Amino acid sequence: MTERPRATGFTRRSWLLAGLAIPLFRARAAANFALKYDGDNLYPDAPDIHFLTPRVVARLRDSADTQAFISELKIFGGSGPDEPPIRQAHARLVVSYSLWEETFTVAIPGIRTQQGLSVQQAEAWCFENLAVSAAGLDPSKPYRMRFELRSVRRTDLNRVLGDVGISLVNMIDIFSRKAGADEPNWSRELSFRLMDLPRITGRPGRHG
Amino acid sequence: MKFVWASVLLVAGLPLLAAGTQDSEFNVNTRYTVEDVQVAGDGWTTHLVSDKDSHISFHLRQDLLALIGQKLNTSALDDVARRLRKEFRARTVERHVLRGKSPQTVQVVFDIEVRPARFDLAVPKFAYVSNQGWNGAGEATATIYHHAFTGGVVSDGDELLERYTGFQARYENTRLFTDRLHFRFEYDDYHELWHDRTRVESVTDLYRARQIVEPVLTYQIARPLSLSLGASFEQLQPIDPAAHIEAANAVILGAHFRYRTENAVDEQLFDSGYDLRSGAHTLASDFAYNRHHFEFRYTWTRGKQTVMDDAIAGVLTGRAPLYERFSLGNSSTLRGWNKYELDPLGGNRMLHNAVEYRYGAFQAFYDLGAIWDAGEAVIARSSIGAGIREGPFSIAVAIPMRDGRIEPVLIVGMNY
Repeated sequence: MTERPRATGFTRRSWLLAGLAIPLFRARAAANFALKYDGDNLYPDAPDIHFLTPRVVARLRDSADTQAFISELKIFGGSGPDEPPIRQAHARLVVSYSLWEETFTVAIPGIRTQQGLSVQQAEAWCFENLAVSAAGLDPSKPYRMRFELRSVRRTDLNRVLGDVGISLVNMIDIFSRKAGADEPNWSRELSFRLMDLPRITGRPGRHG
Repeated sequence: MKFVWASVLLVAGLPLLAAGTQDSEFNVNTRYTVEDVQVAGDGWTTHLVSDKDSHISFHLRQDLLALIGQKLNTSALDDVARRLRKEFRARTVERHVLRGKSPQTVQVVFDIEVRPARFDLAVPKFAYVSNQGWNGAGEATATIYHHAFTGGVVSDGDELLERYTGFQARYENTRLFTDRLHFRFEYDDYHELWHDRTRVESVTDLYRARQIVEPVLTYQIARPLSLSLGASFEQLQPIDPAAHIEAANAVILGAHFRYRTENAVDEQLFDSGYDLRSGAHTLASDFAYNRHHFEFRYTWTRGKQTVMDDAIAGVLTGRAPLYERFSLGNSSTLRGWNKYELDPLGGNRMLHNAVEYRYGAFQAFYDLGAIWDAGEAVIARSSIGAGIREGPFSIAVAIPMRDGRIEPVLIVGMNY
């Protein structure tokens, strides 16, 4: 029994190191996630999240179609895993790529649209326009913010409808697929107090 | 509890399907005009503008050609891609959009990846009507080139006077010698459940089971017009085991016309059909009858607005089995009314018109209809309703217009 871990290359020490490394990855993720506060709203800032991946960009260029992303900002009052959020905001981001202008257009349906953006500008514009209201939060009380961003594949949704109705085979295929390269998603979390956050100005006054 | 589950299913499904259609509004490429369309298959490529070949069926080719000169519409491309996938029984149809030769134009390329065989499980229909219960069907289809073999189960108390429950087996050939000729052979075996009101009205005409063999040929004469010719051989097992099994054999004839026209702002769809089922003693049938069914549907769409008018009429002469008699008051006609309350045995005359207005996912409708037997007084009834419809999914509340009381009925489901 003691030989098996060595044969596969996983020693007790490597398992121990791997276990210790998990919190470090979480800490690194938290370090790359910050919040900006304009006195009314909180804005996520995650410079390491690049949701317009080369794969997404290639698909947009090839298909002249749109790519939608769903974002979710949740503020929790406590640290319990099952605690309901005290404030949350959802947004749908729709990105397309102009074949002739070779620039990106991003829309938050019903809110605003911006054209003529590069990849970096498009990502930055999205973060600038994601917000959750901080009105009524106690500035001195600690809160926890959870930010999630995931892509939505439009073609898969259409595939659910087959020739004669709902296709169970396609549905099983879609829902059994793990979120991976095709449907990337990002998640960040951090604790904060409003009084500790630097104030910014010039943000669009959007309440989530 | 059933209501809760139905609502959850529908409410969860609607946003998923709505998302796809909404996003195309924000696509920056919709400003560009389609210059050319190409379809590429296994070792062949067709330029729709210049080539003439037999790879693509006539009507689909016309619809592909209609994309040229129009603004890029990714929903329309998805629709065509789905039809190409269906026609070629393809595994996938990828679409690529490239810059055109002229500025502000684009070229569309459909890339077909054919697989010789495939298997699919589908739910062609489900519906819940709060005063009549659940209805649903599920089927499995194995497809090899143009041959499709389907087996399914169904329990439907919505369409006919009876609730028929059983299995269906079907063979379809979508290209019999030519892509204009379609052959279908179906065998069904159903067990029947009858509503108490129907049982009270008639015992002798009821049956406990029926088996159906139905071969049908459909020929596409021109793009909008198709004709059907077939036969239906049914055996009805009476409720009384001592009574003899009856045969209901009939010739089937049908003509269907579908025409779509559009300009920059409006789209109109005309859909009409006539179906005749004629039973005769010469076909070794115990029933001799003629059942005429007419349908006309007009749909006008501008932007998010859609107005529909759907008119149907039926005339039945002679002695026909109960499944051939007309009924109104289900999930698609005189919505909100209970068909057993209107006429538990159905009628041999029927007239119905439904007007529907849709704005985006919202729908409102007004149904007006009458069902009666020849020689009886005609009583017109109506109902109103509103709800949400997205793609084939719908959830609606219908209210029968009657004196003195309001009894709303919930209707949820798909493909009804």
